[in-house]
Amino acid sequence: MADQFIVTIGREFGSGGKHIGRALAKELGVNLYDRNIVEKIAQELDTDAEHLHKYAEKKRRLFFNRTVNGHTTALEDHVIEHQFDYIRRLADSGESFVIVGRCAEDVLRERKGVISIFVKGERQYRIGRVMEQFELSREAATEKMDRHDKTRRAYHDHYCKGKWGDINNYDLCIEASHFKTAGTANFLAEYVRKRLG
Amino acid sequence: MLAAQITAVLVFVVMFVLIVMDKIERHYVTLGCGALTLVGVFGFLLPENNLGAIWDTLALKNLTHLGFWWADPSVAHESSHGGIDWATIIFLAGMMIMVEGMAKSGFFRWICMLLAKIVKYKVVPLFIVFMIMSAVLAMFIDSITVILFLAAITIELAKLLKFNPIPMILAEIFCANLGGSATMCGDPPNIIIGSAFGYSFTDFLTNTGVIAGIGLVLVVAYFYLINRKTLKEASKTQIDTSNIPSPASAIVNMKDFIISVVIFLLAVVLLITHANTGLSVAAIGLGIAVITILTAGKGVKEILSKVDYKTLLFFVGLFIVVDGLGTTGILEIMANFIGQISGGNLIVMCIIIIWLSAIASAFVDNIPFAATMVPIIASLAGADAAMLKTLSWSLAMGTDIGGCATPIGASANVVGTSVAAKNGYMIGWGKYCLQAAPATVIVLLVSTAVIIVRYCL
Repeated sequence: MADQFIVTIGREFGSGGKHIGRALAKELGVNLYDRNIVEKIAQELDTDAEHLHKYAEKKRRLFFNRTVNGHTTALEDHVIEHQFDYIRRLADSGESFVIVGRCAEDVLRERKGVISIFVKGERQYRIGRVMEQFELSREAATEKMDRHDKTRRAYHDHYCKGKWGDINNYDLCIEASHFKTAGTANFLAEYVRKRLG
Repeated sequence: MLAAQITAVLVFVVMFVLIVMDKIERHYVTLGCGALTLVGVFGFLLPENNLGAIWDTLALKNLTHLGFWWADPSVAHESSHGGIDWATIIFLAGMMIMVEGMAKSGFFRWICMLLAKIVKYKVVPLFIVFMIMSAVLAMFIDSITVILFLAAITIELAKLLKFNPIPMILAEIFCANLGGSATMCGDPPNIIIGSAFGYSFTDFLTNTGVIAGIGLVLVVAYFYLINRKTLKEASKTQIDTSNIPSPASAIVNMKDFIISVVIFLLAVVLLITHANTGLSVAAIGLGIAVITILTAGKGVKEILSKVDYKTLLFFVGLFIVVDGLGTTGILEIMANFIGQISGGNLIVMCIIIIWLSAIASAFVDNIPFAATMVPIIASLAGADAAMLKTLSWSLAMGTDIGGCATPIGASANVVGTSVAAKNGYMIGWGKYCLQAAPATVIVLLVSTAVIIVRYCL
């Protein structure tokens, strides 16, 4: 696999997309980018990453923002612009990598060597994982999962042309509950290798 | 007439809501709503003289009057506050062209770097000098341009001198708005007010300018006091200033630089003397634009391409929608309402106008608000010229200063916070209002006190 390849992973909350991405990156021998992108941007800008995390992966508010000559008060827009710029620069550098979230499938859509994947999960499977990971009751886990999915969808669909979780927006949509995290990552690694010939 | 009134109000409300939502670019909003006003309100719903009303609102005939460009200084100016205010639009366009020429030559970067060097890159003096410079530049140049350059250079210096630029940027934004309130050309609401009532540059300088001057002293002290710990901490750091670029390096082209400075000084002189020369702001704007274009050589295309046409179109649509309210008598109803609440008492009227304008301007664009209020204060004052002036200064200070309180209140706030965010310094509502809202209240209290003591007692 000498040519550059980039695997983008969109995911439902609780599906294990982040862990699948990590295992896939390890399997393919490339770097994984997810939340750590924000830390890298903060390093570049010589600023506190927490300030950026506060506005990352969120949609701008409907009211109380204003735009003047391309300048906006919506800090969510600024953070996503920083992320999009970073992702584009990463891709330009020729590095192969796996990236989770960040609307990456949309940012890199027109580029060669990009494989976009969406990881979904059967509802009860995801609730179980959220309960276990965050030590929550079923009710609290369900509420958390639905809230995060709603925020993710709103954020993604606001900043991207394609719709979050829509099969037409990805090369492959996969149900994580069948093979669980490690099995799904292995399956995807095989898929990526076959795609790259 | 009732149907026309209801439609005019509906169009106005929809326009305001769409501007606040910020989903559609605001010039499309005002132009769309302006078209609806022309066709719906004037074209179909007015009981009579539909074409005449449209023609009056477009106000194109004004451009052919000598009085639009030059008025005999010895003859009193007549108020004109209906339809598209082409004087405001032409003046703004002219100043935009001039400012683009100045920016292209490196003027703004040069003056910032020069002042930083003069204060030996010491953080506290830099903080104070940049605040004052922001206010002084914004008296003559639009606050967006002032902040665009000042915030960028503040961040550049902050990175080199190792200090947090956020307090300085917030203070500069406030001072840009405050400086803008001092003159007729400093802030769009002032241009609208001045152009509608024929006030001169000196009228503003000797009235709102005095209030802004007092406000500036207090605000510099306020921002210094609330940030003194951070500033003193930053002052302790020993920094090698030899890496900081020299002011001369900011000048892109010396010939363009000299020309742009001369044009700027010419604009200042023409504005200061326009009550004596009789030249209107439209004539000054057009003249300055023509001189800039003629002296720009090959750079003309670049200068013209950077002019903010969207804002000019925004004004065109806005004036039409507001005229819809005026022609259908809605603004007179609103003026009567304010008159009734105040019981005809000038002090109460001033307080209502200052604080109502300030609160509204903190959350919605102050330009449409000012454009709407101009006919209202004209109606309130009737033939009383002294009262009209008092209400005008109240409106100017309320709209100009109210916009300082929140990140969305004025264009300079948006640009300043955006430049900071692009460089990784996130300024949210909390951080912004914590510093700017008390300063806004201080200046509004000063404005209220000065206006009451000087004009109402």
